[in-house]
Amino acid sequence: MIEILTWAIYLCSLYFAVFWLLVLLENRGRMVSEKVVKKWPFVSIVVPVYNEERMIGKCIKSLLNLDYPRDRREIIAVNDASTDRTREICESFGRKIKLINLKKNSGRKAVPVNIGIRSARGTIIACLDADSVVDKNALRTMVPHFNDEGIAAVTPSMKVFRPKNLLQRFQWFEYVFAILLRKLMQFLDSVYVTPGPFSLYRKDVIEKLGYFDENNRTEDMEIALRLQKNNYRIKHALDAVVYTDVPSTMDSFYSQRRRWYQGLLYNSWKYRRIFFNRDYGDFGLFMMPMNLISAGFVITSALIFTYYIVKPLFDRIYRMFLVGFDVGVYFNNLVPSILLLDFDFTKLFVGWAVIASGIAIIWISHRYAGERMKKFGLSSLLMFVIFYFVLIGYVWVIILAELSRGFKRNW
Amino acid sequence: MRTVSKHIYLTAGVITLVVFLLGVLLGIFIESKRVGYMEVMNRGQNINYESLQLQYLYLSTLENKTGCAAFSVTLNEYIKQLEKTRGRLETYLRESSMYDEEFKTLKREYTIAQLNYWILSRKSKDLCNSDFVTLLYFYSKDCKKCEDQGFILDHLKLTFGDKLLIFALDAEMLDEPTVTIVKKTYGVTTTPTVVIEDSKIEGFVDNDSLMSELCSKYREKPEKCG
Repeated sequence: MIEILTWAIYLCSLYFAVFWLLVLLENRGRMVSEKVVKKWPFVSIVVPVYNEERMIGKCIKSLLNLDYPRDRREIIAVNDASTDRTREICESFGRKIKLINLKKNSGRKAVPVNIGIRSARGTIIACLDADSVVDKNALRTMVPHFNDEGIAAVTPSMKVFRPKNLLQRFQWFEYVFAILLRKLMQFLDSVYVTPGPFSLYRKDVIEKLGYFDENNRTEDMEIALRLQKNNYRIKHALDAVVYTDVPSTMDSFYSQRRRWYQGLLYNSWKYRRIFFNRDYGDFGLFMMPMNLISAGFVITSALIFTYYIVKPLFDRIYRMFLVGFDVGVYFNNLVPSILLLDFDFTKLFVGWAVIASGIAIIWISHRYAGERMKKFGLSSLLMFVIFYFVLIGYVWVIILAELSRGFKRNW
Repeated sequence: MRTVSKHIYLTAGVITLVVFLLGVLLGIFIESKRVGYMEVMNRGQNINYESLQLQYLYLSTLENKTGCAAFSVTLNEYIKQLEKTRGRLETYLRESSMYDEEFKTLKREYTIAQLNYWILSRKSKDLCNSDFVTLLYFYSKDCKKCEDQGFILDHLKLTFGDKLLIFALDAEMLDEPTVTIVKKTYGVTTTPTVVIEDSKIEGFVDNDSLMSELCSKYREKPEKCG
């Protein structure tokens, strides 16, 4: 049983890796697109903010520094009744930004976002989470993607803002990998989330679709799925960079992932009609099912990994118990007897192919993200490759366990 | 109508399949190498046995005990080699996909070798008046307790060294009639079963019981027996 599962994991990993490499190969000439526009459209940047005194200043400063015609953009901060110094910091920018203060906290990000959009003058809306900092050139790079009438949204390349500890570095690698992956998804018209940090939308489309879903805690995924459902296209701007603050403790990491992954389940259910529906092309046939499959996949891998670590350990301890923990004799007879022939070469070969394609993808994603692979030393990268999926697998297991026990859904 | 990138799904599938098949082919190639390796080991093992037999014949003809020490060193060394190769053969047989028959034949040869050595060591024990104990161990596939029993026996072998000679026999090895005869002789009906010299213990035996059983067989108690 374990053997069959292990093989399934091996072959699926290999298939997905080869699949994405092929998508890359086919589109390698189209990774970065044109950057000219006839006339810069008016962009309204909406920043919903709740208790972000630590980041909001940096966030707004980065917006003010954007390389974009000043008379063609506005910044709207919507303060969702913060209880810390957020309001004070926002007010310190004076008339450089438009500040809307809500009287009562809404508890949902979509509420302040929609309020901001309703008061926006632009034809393009940029939504920006207050815990993020935008690179100077991002907007200039992203806007030209709207030259194509069918494009309703553009996503940026997200990177982790000043990663300090190991958990944040893990997420750094994950984000770098996601940059490439999202670009590849774009070629299949299969981007399924327009992340909170600086995704751009056509205002008329958002209005037509009825704004962000205020009852959804992953509104950035919901809106992307709604765009997909209505056959709008989403593009990814590989060279537009946004830095976002990521959880630094296991606690905050877990609650973030719980929101995301529960959101994935909830929204998959909401848009279940897209699954395996040929009318939605690759998005329906591949991307949507694959989202759920990869969750199952990461859970299974994590469990198998644990099995292969824990079982031999347990066996060894049990057996030592059988011989009364008489360890001495083994130390006196340490003559390893290993033949090259003893290895399972089929598994080694396929495993090698999986690892090689994995390394290729990590290398390529660093290249496109303009980052060095050894930014944090090789050990961090190795730890990421070996342990991150286990971590995510366990997060999934706990989330599913909570859900099955009827943990408060809170949607 | 949105597009479906059929060609990419198919190409990825074909590449995955090709890598997998290459892996399987490599596995089969390695297996043929394993068969070759085992055959070479088997040939060496046969020569070892012939040499031992000759030594035994020489000792018994001359009735000169001075050669006994050298003989028993060689005997021990060859049994150790035999056991190591046998363990490996079991693993190869378990993992085999294409060369089942070859491995089974090899296993039969090793079983015969085990029995040969067992008889030879018992005969030489009388001849040289040596103080070692022979142990027959009957195991079978899918016998959960056998793994534990095997581990304990390995441990005892490490503890007693040359003073304990263990011969492991697959109780389900019906290709080789001698196994059936030996089983009948000692009335072996289940696995694991351990036969120490001539006394049989059926079912799983823990480390301490085996230890005291072994210790009772030595003329000169080894250090471990306290």
